[in-house]
Amino acid sequence: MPGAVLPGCECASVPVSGSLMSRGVAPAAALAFLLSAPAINPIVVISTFVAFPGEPMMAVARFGASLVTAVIVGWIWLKWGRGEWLRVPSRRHIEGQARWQTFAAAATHDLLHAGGFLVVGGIAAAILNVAVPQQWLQTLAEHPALAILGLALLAVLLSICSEADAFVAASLTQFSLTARLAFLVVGPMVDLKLISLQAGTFGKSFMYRFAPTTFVVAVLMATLFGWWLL
Amino acid sequence: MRRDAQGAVLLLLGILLLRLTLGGSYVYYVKASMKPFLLLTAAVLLALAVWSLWQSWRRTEEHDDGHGHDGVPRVAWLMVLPVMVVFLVSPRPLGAFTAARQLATAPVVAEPAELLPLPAGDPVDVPIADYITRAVWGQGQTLEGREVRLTGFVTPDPEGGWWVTRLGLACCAADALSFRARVLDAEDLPANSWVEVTGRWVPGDSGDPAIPLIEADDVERVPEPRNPYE
Repeated sequence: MPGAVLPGCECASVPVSGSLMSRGVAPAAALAFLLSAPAINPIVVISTFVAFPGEPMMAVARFGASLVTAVIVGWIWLKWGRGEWLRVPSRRHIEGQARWQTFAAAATHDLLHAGGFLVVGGIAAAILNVAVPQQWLQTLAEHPALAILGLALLAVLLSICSEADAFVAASLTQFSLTARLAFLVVGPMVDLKLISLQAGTFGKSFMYRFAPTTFVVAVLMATLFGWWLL
Repeated sequence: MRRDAQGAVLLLLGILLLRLTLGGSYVYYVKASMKPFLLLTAAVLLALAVWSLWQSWRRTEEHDDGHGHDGVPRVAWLMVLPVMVVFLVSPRPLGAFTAARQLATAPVVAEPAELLPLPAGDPVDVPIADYITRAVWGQGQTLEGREVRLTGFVTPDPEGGWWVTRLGLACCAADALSFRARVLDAEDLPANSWVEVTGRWVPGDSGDPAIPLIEADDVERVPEPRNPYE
């Protein structure tokens, strides 16, 4: 639930949920935070509302589908997840140091650690963004089911921040609203830079399971909410 | 990664950020309103860099285990990559390549609550996004009988002619959207030339997507503006 009020973008939520886990928060809850924080905070809801002026239900559907996806993935982890897949970041205790020293050490560590993986994700997203021909999009837009899957995959490739992705989604006018909802629900939860960050923070065996599961649940929920609300 | 190397990378990043922000070329990559946050971040980076370097110097004095890598993995070295890219390549702002990739999608601008009349003066300078709003949502009513001047770069249309184009940022260059109007009665110009198009609005065939047109009276080549985005 704190995911709903803290305005953070998706890159920041990876180290934050990592440190939540190492402070003893249940992994399922921390993962639900990881998924929901970038998608349902007020800034994102408002920017979605502004980007789709004729479609106020878009922001509502995005909020609903993202929240439900985060909760379902949390449940899936609770039921089938195994502790050994997840490498909980260890918390180093530095005895006899001032609080600001510990703060500086943690800040340096998180910045360099997450930053390195962010560069990897950024390179991958940039290459694919330039290399994938736009004609493919046009072809996808003509099939309703493929359009949803296509935009969900595009969200993974483009890796745009959740505060700004609504404006890009609004410009993809040849796609159905449901397909654009899938773009908005998947984007903040699964994309190349997040995959790279998650692999770095929680380990590869976690990422291999978590990212595809989240992708599937997010596409299903977006389709469901799109069919229901849009 | 050793503590002194961490300090060096942070120092590089801090200097880079400070240089981009104070030198003004940060507007090629992010929205201009980010300036205070960039300066704050640069200050934090530099402070952490000084702290890390001081720590490593103090440890050498105390002759401890000697490596003290603090669990920052080697991937953090990749943070040097963006520094090198900016110093060696200094990427130019996005231009016609990006805009041409968006030619298939409609130029989207939010529907305004009401359209105010254009300010006095002939010709009157109009941002391209504003021109699109007035042409598409206002059916050109506020543009009729007025001489307008649009400033942007040339994006050639594969089917002949060109568009006067400006890219708009919601947050950073990764989410750039192109705003463009088709220029009628103008000579072909090379892609990415910056121009001032003085002319009049003309109604187009109101197909979907509606295409904003401008009948050019005069096209003048101008230098690139300090902030290339709208």
